[in-house]
Amino acid sequence: MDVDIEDILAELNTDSTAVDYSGNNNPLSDIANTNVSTLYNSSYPDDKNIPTNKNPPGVRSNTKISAEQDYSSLMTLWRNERCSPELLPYPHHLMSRMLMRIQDQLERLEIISMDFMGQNSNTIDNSNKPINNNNMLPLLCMEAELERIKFIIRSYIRCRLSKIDKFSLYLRQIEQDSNLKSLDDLLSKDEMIYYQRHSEMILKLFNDTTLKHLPPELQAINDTTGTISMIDEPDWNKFVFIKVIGPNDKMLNSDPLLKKDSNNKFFYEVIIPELEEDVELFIDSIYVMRYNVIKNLLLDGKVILI
Amino acid sequence: MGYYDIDDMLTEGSEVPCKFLQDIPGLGYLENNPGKPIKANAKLMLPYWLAHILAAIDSIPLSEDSMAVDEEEEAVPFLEMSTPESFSQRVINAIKTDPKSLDLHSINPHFYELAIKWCAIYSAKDLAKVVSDLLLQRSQDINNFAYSMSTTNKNIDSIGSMSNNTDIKPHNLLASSSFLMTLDELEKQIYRTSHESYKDSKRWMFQNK
Amino acid sequence: MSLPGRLQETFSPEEVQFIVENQKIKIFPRITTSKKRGGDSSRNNNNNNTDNEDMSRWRMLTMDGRALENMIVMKSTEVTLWLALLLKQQSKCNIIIPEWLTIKGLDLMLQYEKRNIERFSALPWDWLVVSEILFKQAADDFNDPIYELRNRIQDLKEIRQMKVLQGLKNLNESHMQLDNLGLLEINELRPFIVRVMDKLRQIHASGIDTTETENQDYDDDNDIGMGTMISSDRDASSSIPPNAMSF
Repeated sequence: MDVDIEDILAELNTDSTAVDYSGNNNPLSDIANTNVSTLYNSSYPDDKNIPTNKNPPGVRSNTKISAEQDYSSLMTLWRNERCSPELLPYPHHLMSRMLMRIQDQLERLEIISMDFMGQNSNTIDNSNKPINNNNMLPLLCMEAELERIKFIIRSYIRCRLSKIDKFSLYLRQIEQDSNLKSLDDLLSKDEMIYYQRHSEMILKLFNDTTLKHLPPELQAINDTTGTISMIDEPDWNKFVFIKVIGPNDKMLNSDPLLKKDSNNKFFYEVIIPELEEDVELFIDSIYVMRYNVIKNLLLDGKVILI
Repeated sequence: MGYYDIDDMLTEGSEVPCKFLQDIPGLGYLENNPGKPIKANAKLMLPYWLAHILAAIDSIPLSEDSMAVDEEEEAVPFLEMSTPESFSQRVINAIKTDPKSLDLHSINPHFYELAIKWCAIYSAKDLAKVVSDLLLQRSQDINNFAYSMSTTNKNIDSIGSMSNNTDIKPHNLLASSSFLMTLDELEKQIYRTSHESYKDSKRWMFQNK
Repeated sequence: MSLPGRLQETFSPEEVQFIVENQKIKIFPRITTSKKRGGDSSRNNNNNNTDNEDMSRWRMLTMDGRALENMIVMKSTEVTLWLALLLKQQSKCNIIIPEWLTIKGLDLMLQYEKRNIERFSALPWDWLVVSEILFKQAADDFNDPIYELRNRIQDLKEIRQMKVLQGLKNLNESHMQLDNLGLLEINELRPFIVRVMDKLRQIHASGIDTTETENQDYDDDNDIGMGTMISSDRDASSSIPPNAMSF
């Protein structure tokens, strides 16, 4: 894992690691109702059910986000990340909640299995054999679930790392052009460390093997003035598959961007600038569309990449 | 695309017919005449990466700084490019007649990429249209082929219990290799990635049975 | 590379399956987990509670665990597909086959596919994956003979594939609408569609004179120097005079 759970845990109020196991009616939905409240550091929504995604960084709300909601957000984020040509903002809060829950669940599973070990002198085999003891069933399921979550997080981080590698010069350019803040939003702390070390190492390798043997005027690796820029940018117009979801709160009538056609079907109107063409994107429909055209809708969670 | 794109570099290696518009001292080695100047009106083939710069180079002072163009009334570029054989009327006609059976690879292994560059310089809308149609038409065959190859491969690989009958006749390997030989590099990439993708799906479907 | 090249282009079928497995499906539990609810309701559980009874309870991170807490034998409930498959494997449930995955349901879809040559029937977006998984892992839960269902799924696949092939003739540089296409279908077509459309886009863009004077032909000699230079954002080599060359 590239994300250090310890770091995140240390940052949080100790109370917050104790996932609330409250509620007689709802004993199973974890509620992160402590200091971790905003979904994102940016306006990128990571949950379609939560209308508070416009909260600026640092604003605390008491929104309770269930583990289930977070997981479904993570699935969406993973799929978006895999399909988008650019690196999308890192969901700081969602990920810290997620990792916190994983940590908590791990400890819990350990306690449970130790209990079983104590009960049965036989070692417990969690493989696919049918389990006679029904008490073992939750353990089996929770372990399987944990593996699924770990997979999705790994795959998500891997995808992000591959983009960080690919666009390291471009990220450097962003870093220089704007204030450092924007890169902090884009990358997690660990990703930032990775990115910095990685680009340092690559640069050193380039220098040691090749560049230092060239005349100074040929040593640039980030010259953008020539016929072709040396910095690879994301292909902003790359075609992506999208599904139109609509506003987070599902209140179709209150989304000012939504229009209605003659059949009362809702759609977003987008413009493809290069072709001077208007396109209507209907709710629930699937399109192949240029990334740039739908980028804002994507960041608002109104379309997802599939 | 991109600075380190090898296909892009290879594309720029395509030769373009050029005609020099000025005498240039010492450049005679380009036409096996070392030490001598190259004369105006001399015609020779130059790689695109060189030609397109020489065709552009003298016009820049004209617009940016008229002082640089001293007494001379008209600044002339070093040379003039003419239409490469790949986009000649002969080829265009062949494309229009039968796009699908064309051996595009022998015309130019980087046909589309060069076309994009050429169209961009000359805003050649008509050529762009011809090339788009060409890609669209040929891609249908490429897709069919990628799809059917993924089924035939599976039938070869598998235990033989599967008979995935598609409406596309399985090509034999000989036909397949000769078809692939006619594709330009871009088309080959399209073929390769679509084929991989279809094969992957088929593999998944099969292992689930 | 931290992510293999092919996975940067599309998802693997296994990943598509993973996505689909998060969908809900109905089951008949063969066990009862609902117990001692009265006792629990008065208790205020907290994290320090290491009570054996409690710790063996379901606390799920990807779904609402209540459905699992309250399972009663043969009383239908809804869980995520992967969990249903896990329970099934342990002989703890039967999966309720969805309505559309019956001979009747599939025949309806086939009829629609045949009648509407330009449209796809409204099969669920995960139809191909769900049917394959259930055929394999829950064969005994079907009422219809599996081979009959398989044949129909195969027919649906083929008839839809034909339509897809027709549709691909309309690839263009602008956009496409692909309603009712399943995720696995989209996923296997993705590399082809994206590559071809991306290239059509580039070819189209290259043919467009994107100068500002585009619409006023040759209105002014002054423009020849500067105005007509930038002809594409892609390629700075566009600073080349327009030696008119046309076809």
